[in-house]
Amino acid sequence: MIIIILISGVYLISYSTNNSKSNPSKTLAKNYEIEFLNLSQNNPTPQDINGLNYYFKKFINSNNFDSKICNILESGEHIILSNYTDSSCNILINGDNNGTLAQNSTTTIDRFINNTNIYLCSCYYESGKNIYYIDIYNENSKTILKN
Amino acid sequence: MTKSFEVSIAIILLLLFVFFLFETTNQRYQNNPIPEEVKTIILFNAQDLGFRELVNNNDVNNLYSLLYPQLDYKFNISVCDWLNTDCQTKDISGFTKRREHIYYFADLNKTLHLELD
Repeated sequence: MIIIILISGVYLISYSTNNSKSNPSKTLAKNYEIEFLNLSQNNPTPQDINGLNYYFKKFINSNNFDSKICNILESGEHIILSNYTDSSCNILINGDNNGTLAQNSTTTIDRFINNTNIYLCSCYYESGKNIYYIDIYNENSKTILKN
Repeated sequence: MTKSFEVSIAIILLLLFVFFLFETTNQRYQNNPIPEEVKTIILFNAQDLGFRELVNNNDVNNLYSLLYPQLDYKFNISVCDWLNTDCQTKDISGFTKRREHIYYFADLNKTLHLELD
């Protein structure tokens, strides 16, 4: 009887441990992070970033998750802004509203030395840094990765 | 009286044991997730330029050889142009796919499918 109780206990503990470890949204978010950082090192065009976000959202959907993505990154004389958050985002530069970026779209703005405070939804620009924000979620799991 | 009480407790514990055994086996068979270490190995390799080049060339044989010493599981590998379109698959006899982990290579627009039995 003691052996039966012990084996049941071990099974229960291993079962709960295995279930708590799995988080598919975290793996998807890490996949995005690696691909974004890889792409952003190669002087990407707005089309490259738009393509990344467009196809990645489809890839995430194929895994039964939804996502919200935004990016702000430097590319030559421009700053690329991408909004895949499923809603339009205001482009805030030094506290001023510089227009709205429609959902699922990417644009560029000129890169000026005084453009130090740029906000786009959940993304906040830092000079010299390629900014990403990704939120992957469904009813069972949620992961946010950003830099 | 005491004996019958002990017997009923023993029967209940025995039934619970069989139930847990069945549930655990059933759950593992039906919804066995991809182990975290496998996902980590793929995420790690995906950052390597040589690995990405092999994916770009649909070189499933060399990808399999590269991953074989790293993965402590029986596995198969496929590279597809996008999800399940135009796939190159390593031909392994007697392999039954039960689980699949997919990694998306954005700049190549290809997906790597790692299948476990």
